[in-house]
Amino acid sequence: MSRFTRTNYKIYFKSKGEPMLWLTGGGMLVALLMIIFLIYFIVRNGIANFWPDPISYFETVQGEKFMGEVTKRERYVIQSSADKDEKVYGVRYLVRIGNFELTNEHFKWLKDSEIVKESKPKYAMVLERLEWGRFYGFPYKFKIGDEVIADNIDGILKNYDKYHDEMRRLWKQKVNIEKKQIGKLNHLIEKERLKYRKVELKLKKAKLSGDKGKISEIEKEYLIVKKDFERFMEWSKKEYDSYIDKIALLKNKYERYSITFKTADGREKDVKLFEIVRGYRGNDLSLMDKMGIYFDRWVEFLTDDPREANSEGGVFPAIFGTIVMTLLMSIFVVPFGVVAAIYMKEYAKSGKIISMLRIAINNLAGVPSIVYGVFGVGFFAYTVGASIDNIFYEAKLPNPTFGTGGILWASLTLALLTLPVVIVSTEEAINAVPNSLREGSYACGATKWQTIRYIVLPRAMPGIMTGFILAMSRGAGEVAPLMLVGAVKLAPEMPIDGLFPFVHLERSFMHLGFHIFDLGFQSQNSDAAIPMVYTTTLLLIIIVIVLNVVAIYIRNRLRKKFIGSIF
Amino acid sequence: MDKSYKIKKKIIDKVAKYTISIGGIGTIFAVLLVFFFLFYTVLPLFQKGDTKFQNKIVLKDKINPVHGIVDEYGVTGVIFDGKMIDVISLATGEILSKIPLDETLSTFNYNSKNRSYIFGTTDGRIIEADISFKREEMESDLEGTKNEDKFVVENDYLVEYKNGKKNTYKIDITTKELLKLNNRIILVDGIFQDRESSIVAITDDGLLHIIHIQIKENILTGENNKEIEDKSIDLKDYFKSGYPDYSKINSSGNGIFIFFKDGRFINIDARNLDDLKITEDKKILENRKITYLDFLIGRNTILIGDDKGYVTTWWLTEDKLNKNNYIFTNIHKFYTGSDSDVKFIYPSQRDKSFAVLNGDGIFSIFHMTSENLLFQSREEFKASLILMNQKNDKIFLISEDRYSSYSFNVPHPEVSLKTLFGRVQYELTSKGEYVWQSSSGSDDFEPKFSLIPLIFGTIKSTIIAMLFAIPIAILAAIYTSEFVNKKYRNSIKSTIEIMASLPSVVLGFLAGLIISPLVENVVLSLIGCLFMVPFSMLLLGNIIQILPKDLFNYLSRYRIFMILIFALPLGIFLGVNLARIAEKILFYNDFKYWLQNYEYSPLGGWFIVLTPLGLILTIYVYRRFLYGFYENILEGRSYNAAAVIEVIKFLVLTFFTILTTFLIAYIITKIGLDLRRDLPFIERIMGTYVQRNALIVGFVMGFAVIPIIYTVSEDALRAVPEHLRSASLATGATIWQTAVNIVLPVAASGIFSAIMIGFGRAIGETMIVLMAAGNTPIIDMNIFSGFRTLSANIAVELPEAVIGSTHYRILYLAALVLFIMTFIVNTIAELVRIRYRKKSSQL
Repeated sequence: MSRFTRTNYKIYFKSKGEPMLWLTGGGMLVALLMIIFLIYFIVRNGIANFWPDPISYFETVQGEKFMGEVTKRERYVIQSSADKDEKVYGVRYLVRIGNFELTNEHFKWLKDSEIVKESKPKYAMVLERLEWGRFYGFPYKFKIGDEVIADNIDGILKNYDKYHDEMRRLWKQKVNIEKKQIGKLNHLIEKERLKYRKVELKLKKAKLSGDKGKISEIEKEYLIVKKDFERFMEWSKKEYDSYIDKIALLKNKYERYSITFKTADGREKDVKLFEIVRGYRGNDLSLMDKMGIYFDRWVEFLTDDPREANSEGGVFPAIFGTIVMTLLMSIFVVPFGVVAAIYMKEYAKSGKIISMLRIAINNLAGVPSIVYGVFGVGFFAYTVGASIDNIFYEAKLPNPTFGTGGILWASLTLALLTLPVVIVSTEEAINAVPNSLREGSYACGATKWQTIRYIVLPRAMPGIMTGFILAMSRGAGEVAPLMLVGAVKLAPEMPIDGLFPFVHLERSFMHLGFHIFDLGFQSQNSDAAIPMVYTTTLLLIIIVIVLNVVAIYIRNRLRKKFIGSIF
Repeated sequence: MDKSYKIKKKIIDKVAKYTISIGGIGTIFAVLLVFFFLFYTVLPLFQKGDTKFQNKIVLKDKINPVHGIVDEYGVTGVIFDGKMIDVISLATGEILSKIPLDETLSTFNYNSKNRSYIFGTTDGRIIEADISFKREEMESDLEGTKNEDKFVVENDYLVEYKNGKKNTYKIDITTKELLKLNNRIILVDGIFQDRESSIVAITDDGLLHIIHIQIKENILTGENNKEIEDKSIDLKDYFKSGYPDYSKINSSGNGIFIFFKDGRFINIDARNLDDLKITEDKKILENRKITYLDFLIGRNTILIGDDKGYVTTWWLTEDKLNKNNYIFTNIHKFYTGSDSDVKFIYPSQRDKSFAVLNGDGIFSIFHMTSENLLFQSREEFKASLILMNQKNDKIFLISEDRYSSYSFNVPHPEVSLKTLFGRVQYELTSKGEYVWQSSSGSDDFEPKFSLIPLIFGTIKSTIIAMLFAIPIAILAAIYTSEFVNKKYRNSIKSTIEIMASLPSVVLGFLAGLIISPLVENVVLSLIGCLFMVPFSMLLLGNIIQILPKDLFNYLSRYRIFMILIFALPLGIFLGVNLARIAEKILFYNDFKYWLQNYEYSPLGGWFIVLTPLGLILTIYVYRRFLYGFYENILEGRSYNAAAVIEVIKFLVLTFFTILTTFLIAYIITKIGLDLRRDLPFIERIMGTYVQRNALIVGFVMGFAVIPIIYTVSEDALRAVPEHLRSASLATGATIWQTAVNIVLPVAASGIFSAIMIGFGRAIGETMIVLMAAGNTPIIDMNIFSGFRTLSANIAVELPEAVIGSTHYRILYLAALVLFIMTFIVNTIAELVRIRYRKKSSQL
């Protein structure tokens, strides 16, 4: 026996394969770690983004004075030469100095060796503004019109607190008039114009055909419509002027209130109160204040429109666009996917059709998403959409209505893209319904449809739900095809609004994924945009992962529930 | 039961059946629709187009056509007959006016860019005649006109009534004398720009003049001053056998070409006006005579028609021996359909195509770059001119007393399979190349549509991604399915699966904006870690065997944690530090500088690239020759001794790998091969470092496909029937042996199909590549250079392409190519999977 075990050591270690196990285990570990690290990285950066940083004041060797938030600290090589072995490293900071209209830059690199003096002044203020990005400065005077109300810090701050909300409210009223009321008016004008243009086109056609009777008939109609249109235009002009007057009135009120700030290098700058979205003294905040600002920024991010070429403000339109597009897509994809799966599992008889279907579905699943985009824009928008325009929206041509990318075409394209997901998971679910249940149903005299409707489908519901949710998560995360079929950087109007017919399927829309791409790669001020990209990414990842986890959860729960019902 | 209920039930059943069947079969159609729609959009690229005879009209007067121009719409034209210019209404056949020119004309040339003739006279004057076509549109009264389009001649103008509009076509001809030389002008040509023009003239005293006219505006007075600079070169010795027949000056004014009818050619280098050089004097046509000659659009390519029915194209190419020197070279050769002499060549004003007419009346339209014959036919009357309008949709054949017109419609003349997939020699280049360049700022730019650089980029990124993803994904799948406790298996799998649902735009953003700037400073460390992390795992896996048997068995439960705590940090530590040492020793202290500096020895680069080869060689030698020796050593050893021998074996093999690799690298370096340049076939493997490069895209895209390969292959491994494992374990095999010898072979086809699916995904990945690959469409094997893939190209260019244009359709072709590539890959995966399913169900 002992001899047997001793010779066995010859292959003992080889058969155990411990080093190889370490390698395979390492493979798994690396895959897991990469995922965990990636998600950690995004979560960390995304969450930290809105936390208010202190304001630092710097004086440099060159005699420059500036102030801002330190956003990045990194080591860099001061000198490296082939002769010397050692590389000399230094530290440098990326400081967000803002005040773009004065300095022409948003950020500045500052080397450690250049700093002469660094401090955190108590009264330094950060302003997030409607335009020009952030502002850093010391409050100097509070003015109403040209009259100085306060010139000491406390007075200014008191007045700021007193008037700021009021001015913002007035400003919002003005924006509301511009957007909602004037928007509505423009909508009406466009409608009337189209009515007029339609008759005009009709008349032109009739004249070319040369039918005298028809011409005179249409001419009458034309004249009536023309008169109506002219009358309407007169009315709308008046209406428009009244809005302009209202706006001017509001403007007069809120534009008078301003604070004069002194920048770090001593320049004075007037900032109107309504321009300040948020202002705070960065070095004089309690933890509660900081939390307040932090959550306020989150609320703004989730519910507001973007500002400053998308690099500030919120992403509400993108969230809304993503949701509407995904839901529309689900409306298209779920019925078709389920029907196809039922057909494959319950109706299709010949093996050939099944195998063709299977190859078709697998190829649908494997075709790159960009190809769907190409198909979508070419087929839906330029072929189907252009025909719709020709028939129903002739008056609007050459401006396309449906003949260009839009939310309807985007969701149809993505529906095609996610079809295999729904089919495959529905199929799996139908497969899991035991045949004994079907046979029992037939034995009771139920028809095939009744069996499917009352026995198979209810039990396949979890699978269908899973497919539905997975399709949504795929749709929410897909960007490449959307770039071609209608996602835009900034959509002037939402796909659903308060104007008839409420749902505007032809409109282009904003999408979180496209927002990330656009913000990260097309933005001029990319240093300022990157934090926003992180937060948007975090939001998108949360949506996608939550959808996935819910899908997995439903699948597991309902699976358990139905396992018990098999007999 | 109620009878009506029964009927209702049946009807509902039938309706459901048909609805569902239609819906089901509809999905097949969806796939077919995608394919056919792409195909349908691409197809017109390869269609010949249609060209039709329109009409023949007898002129009301006789003319003597020498040269001519047609307006944009093809309704009016001017014909130059050597002495005067006739304005013709091509719509009605009337001669609208005759404009007499100077009686003493001795030579002329036509400049298509400015639409002007330049004439030389016997008394040495050089005259320019500008011709401009105008169309005046007037809204005529809606009432008066019916649906009747007609052309009429009113007051010597051609007038068109169309769609209730009245269009008047006017032709303005303005002549002006540019300058005067002292002698009779034999030949003249010129190029004209706003304020500058260059004229070349040969006079009968054997001089070649190059006259540079510059109009300068006096800032104070606003007056224009004409400055004339006349340089000349004496060519008397060259003209002993007679004066030349054609002289041409190219678009940049630095090349002057002189031709003789018998095929002799003189090339004059005019880059420096003070030092005119004759660079070539050669016979370019043997046994053939030049019968007609003109520039192609852009004035860079000369088209030579000869008496044997050929048209050859020529341009200046770089001299291989002396890069500063240019040689007039023949590039293409077109046969006009019969051996008769070429009578007239009309270069298209829209693209690189031209119309040719030969003595037999056969006329052809060719596209130069694609070498496509667009149309060929024969006209029975004896035409002497072939003309086309600016829009390129009408052809006119003009003779002394009649002309015929054809409608010409070839929408994509520049496309052929060769231009899409083959090497194409574009104008002014010296050799055939694969180029993708769809747009440019300049006017006479020719779009270059070779899909090869894009396909190359696609394959390059896919291969690097797969090299990274396959090992990790499959190792992870094996470990999860065979060695992980069942309790944790599902959560590990779901975690990796969640990764699969991560939007690729997120990965693209990280790759492009975060990872690529980070990696730029630590490339070598990263490569070091690629080698050292697996190495340290194997090393520690060996070393742990030295521990006492019980402890070892106990510890193997916590293997993953030991890898996490010891092996991974060790690997990274080794990788970073070895990279630092290697940079000092092998890469002259700066890897990135080493990449560009060819004076440095390529040894280090070869060492990195060849390590896998060294490894394979070592393992082969060990398996083939040393295995018996190793077993002999182990014979009769105790447990502990055997463990130590294992470690020593591992270290020795490692040493041998390094040694072998070093030797091979050394030999290759000594041979003189440098992996940074001039390698046969692949040119290079490493080169200048670009921040957004193939290595980074490979990493991140690998990251994106890992979950897919992992999930599918884990499923395949799990699907191996449990009884096979039990049987193997029961015979005394270890779990490892079972995994390698039983489970893996059974699941191999499933794993293969997983790889194929991952492959398909990597081919079509768009966002990562778009954001992190730099998007330069170049063919470069350098792993540190950027590239552009088919998918990224579509994403970048499709939004800007004009619907229905060649560019648009070629982008659809790119999509079709992608579709076909993934179709093949997916179908292979599916077929293998079906086979696998059959096989495993039999077990």
